Amino acid sequence: VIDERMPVGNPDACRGACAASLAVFIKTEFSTAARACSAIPPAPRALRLLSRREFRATVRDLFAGEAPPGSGPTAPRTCARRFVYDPQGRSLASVHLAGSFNGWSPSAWPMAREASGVWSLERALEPGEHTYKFVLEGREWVRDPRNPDAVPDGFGGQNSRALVTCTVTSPGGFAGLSLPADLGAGLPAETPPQGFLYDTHAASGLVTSVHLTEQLRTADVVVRALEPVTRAFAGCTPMETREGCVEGFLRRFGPRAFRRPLSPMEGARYRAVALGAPDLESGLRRVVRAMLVSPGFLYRTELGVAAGDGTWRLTPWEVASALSYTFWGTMPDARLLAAAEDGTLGTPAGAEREARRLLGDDRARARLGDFATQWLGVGSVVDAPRSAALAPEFDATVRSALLEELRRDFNHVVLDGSHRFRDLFTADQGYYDETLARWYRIPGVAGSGWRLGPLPPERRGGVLTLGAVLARYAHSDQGSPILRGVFVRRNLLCQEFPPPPPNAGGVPEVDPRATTRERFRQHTANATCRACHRYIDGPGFAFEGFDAVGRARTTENGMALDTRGTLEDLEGFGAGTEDTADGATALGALLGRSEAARGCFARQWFRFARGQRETATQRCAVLALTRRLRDTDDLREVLVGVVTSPDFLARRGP
Amino acid sequence: MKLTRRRWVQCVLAASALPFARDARGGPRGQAQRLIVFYFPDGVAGRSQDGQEGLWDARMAGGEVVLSELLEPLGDLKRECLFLRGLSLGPTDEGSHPGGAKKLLTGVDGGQGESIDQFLARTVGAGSAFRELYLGAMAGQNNASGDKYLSYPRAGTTVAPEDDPLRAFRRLFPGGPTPTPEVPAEDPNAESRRAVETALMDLTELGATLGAADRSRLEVHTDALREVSRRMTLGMPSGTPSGDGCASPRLALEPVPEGRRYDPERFPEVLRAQTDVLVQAMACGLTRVGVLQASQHTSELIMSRFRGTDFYDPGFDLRSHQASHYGPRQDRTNRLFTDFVKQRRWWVAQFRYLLEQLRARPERGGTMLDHSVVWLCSEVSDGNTHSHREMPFVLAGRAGGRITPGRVLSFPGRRHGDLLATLARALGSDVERWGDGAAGLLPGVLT
Repeated sequence: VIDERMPVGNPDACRGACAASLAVFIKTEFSTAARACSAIPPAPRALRLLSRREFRATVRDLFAGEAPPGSGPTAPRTCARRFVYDPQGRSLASVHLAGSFNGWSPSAWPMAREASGVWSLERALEPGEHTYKFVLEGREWVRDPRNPDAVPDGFGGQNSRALVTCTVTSPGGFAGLSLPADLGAGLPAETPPQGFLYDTHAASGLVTSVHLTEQLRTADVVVRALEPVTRAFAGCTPMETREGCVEGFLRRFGPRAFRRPLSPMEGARYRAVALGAPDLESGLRRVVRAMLVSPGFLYRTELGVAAGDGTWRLTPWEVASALSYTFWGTMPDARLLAAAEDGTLGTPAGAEREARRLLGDDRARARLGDFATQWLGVGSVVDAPRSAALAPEFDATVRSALLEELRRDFNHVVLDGSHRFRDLFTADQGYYDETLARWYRIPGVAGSGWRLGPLPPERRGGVLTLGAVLARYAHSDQGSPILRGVFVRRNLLCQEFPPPPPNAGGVPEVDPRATTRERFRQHTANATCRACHRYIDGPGFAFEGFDAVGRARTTENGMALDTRGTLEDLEGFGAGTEDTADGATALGALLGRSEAARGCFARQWFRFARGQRETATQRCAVLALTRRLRDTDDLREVLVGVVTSPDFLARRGP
Repeated sequence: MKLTRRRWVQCVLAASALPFARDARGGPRGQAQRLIVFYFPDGVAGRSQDGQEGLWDARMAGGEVVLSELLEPLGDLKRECLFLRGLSLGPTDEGSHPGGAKKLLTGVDGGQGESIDQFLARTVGAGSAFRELYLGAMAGQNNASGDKYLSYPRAGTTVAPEDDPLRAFRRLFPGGPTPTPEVPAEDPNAESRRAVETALMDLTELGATLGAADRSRLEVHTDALREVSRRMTLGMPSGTPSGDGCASPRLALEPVPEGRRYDPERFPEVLRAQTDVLVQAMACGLTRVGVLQASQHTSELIMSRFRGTDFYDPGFDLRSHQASHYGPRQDRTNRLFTDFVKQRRWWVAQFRYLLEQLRARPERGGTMLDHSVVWLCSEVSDGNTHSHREMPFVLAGRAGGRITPGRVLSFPGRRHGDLLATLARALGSDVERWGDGAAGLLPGVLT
């Protein structure tokens, strides 16, 4: 919004444009800070097209074999759960699973070591709650580091808690489709407006004929894969009539595909589709094909039903989808749909309970990884051109390892570690595999698999010292204090700048006798440029200890580096402060304490989850989220807070 | 003759595609069969900050067009071009790349309107198998946000072009170049067509519950369903050797190697491939509206890595946008300026390649170029000042006889929405005005 509004009109003076934009910014910032928030008004109703990422995950999960509850009391149930222990590279002779399900026997249930280095065991369990621990080499009892859900064990420690749900196997034993990995990859990219970092942006989601072509192609692949197993997939018994089978299938599959019960008109429509086919099975496949290109599948609604007081109230089904797409990026599981059906999702407490459950699932890790990648804007590091002369070993393997590191580290801080906000900027531990350790020059790491370990001193700046971030915010042949400074201001502090003014000089030519800092000195020496660049270059210079591919360095072109950075007005333009930080880790320490950074994190999560930039009327909701983070110092509370906020269940019209 | 599988597919598809050939080519004489927009990023060496004359504009001398330094690569094709001088994007957001890109095809400040290509696609182009082809060459680099794109199906929202020539080609010509292994035996479209019909009914039901903004998004969705439904009813898409210039379509391009999607060394090859895809699709009558977007505004494209050009330099990475900020004056001792000039000449040469392809294909006793109107454009005029005045626009083609090329026309200060309206008219639309500050059709362009 700020970007759009910026009056960048005067081709001769950067000062005018920048000053005006700062004035706009100061106004908006300070008005929110000053205005008390007495109430949080309802959020706008929304129609949200599944993003390309969500579409692909949803198709995969819809045909992965999970059947809904209520498939019939006679249906066989499998209540299996897979337990995984990652020894983080530690070599262990044995790992056992002990818990309430086996009398806490330290030797009854051995786990198996997989090729990837992790230990795993899958067992059928009674549905319900179980507590457990892993027993390492018969002596050491540890809780499950991947499972945040834990209860006191009575000995001063904690047991992990597992909630076992059952997958109802349809008669005929449908075991799920295996679909091509690139299914749906041809969908066009999302087109969020300038400055909106996430593919979840609601208002720009359009279905064009290119989208439709790819959706049809996807449906075609699915239907062809279903061909040999249609009847098993549909869950029809051999004795059922054709009509009975179709009814049952629509009752079971419809609410999973549309993530809500079919409307009466839809029910009649799809019944006619199925019965209009030459035979039962082709009719069922026609339903599947049609549903996959139906708006009922492609969009999720946050429209609600009129409450009679001018507001709308989300239906439990809409809440279920909002929860699963926010925390998993895919469709609700059977349990969430069941919670929608029995009405427990209609209250903030019910939504919160489910939100916490979803956060404990591996699907949440994938989703949080997606969020972090987009928040930091680093996805393009995969194929960003970099000078081969600079680092021939900066190849596809290293690049994808950098992105994986980011996903794991973010999840670790948020879910497994301290949960504290400041650790996003100050963590001294991180994940690496052999590739990454070699790239970071961490000695003594060999073998496959990822492990959590201490980071070299220069990498202890959390997200600031991630290789992915440093390599992304650089030009092909040199690091860029500008890109890195704008990254700090925009992504981490939510402080927007207008685009560079006309007549801005480009990046200076690489002078082999100068450091980057020297080349950029004119920005802050020149009064015109200084108006904006005092805010940008200052933090950018703190990254000078890293080159264009994110490797640590102490000299540039044979000269010692100056890594001192400054942050003017850290907590908001016009604050009049100036902080200094020597190097990226020192900058991390500053940001980890910053109110503006904390507020920005809350804002970024809000935008990602809601698919919109917060409007003036929603600033109170964001402030409440920020306060919650400050009070609890627990990042999970921000994640959950977005669905417990009063503006989540109630909506207002356009 | 041995009936290979591929040949068989092409024959079948050709037969089924004939209705479109009539649709696309059966209009009255004296109108353009097609519009092609060719966009390149970051402007040209226009009027400099210090006030020097730009290096773009052509002029007339002795009844002949005299090409400028930047347009010189057009060579003899200047006789097929109409040079438009002095048009303005209007004052709003002047000095901004995204501001210019938002206005370029919409003619409306901030992109708050439908773009002309989308309008033509759903009006005069609605009878085609594909209403529009929007192709990009690395237009999505760096996780591009929406403002990097040019085509607006509705106010304020862009769509992304197809950046992958192979994917674009397969959508247009599913029979080739490599036949897919699983061509269903029965009518491949019947089942999909039924699904689309059901989706249309579901969409109507959903639309009844929405506010105006979301309803307008569903209109785009509805249009998509109708377009694809119609295409399937008529047996499209296909390889269709039906038009005069429609030989068996082919595309010589290797699939993108891992991690090289935005490798600048591949750029010339990708742009050329997209040009070939577009020209072949149009030669086969598959669409009347095409937009070719080379890169994106404020382009990070490292043009110095284009092999075989006079600005190739493996030792120094020079990006398009970086070069565009060559400084306040045209300084021939400044590497940024001299390379910027060479880069811009290269864009003109790529435009020339497109025109040559059109000229090489016969159509109705002339060439495809005779029946086309092609628009060369960028989002700013001078790359350094980001000016929105004196825009670097060139038209090419005779628009089925409605345009007499080989001339230079001046419209000092006129808003470019008037050009958009004129282009629409060339394709047989009846619009009179388009966009902000509209004054009506540009005089003297159409006959």
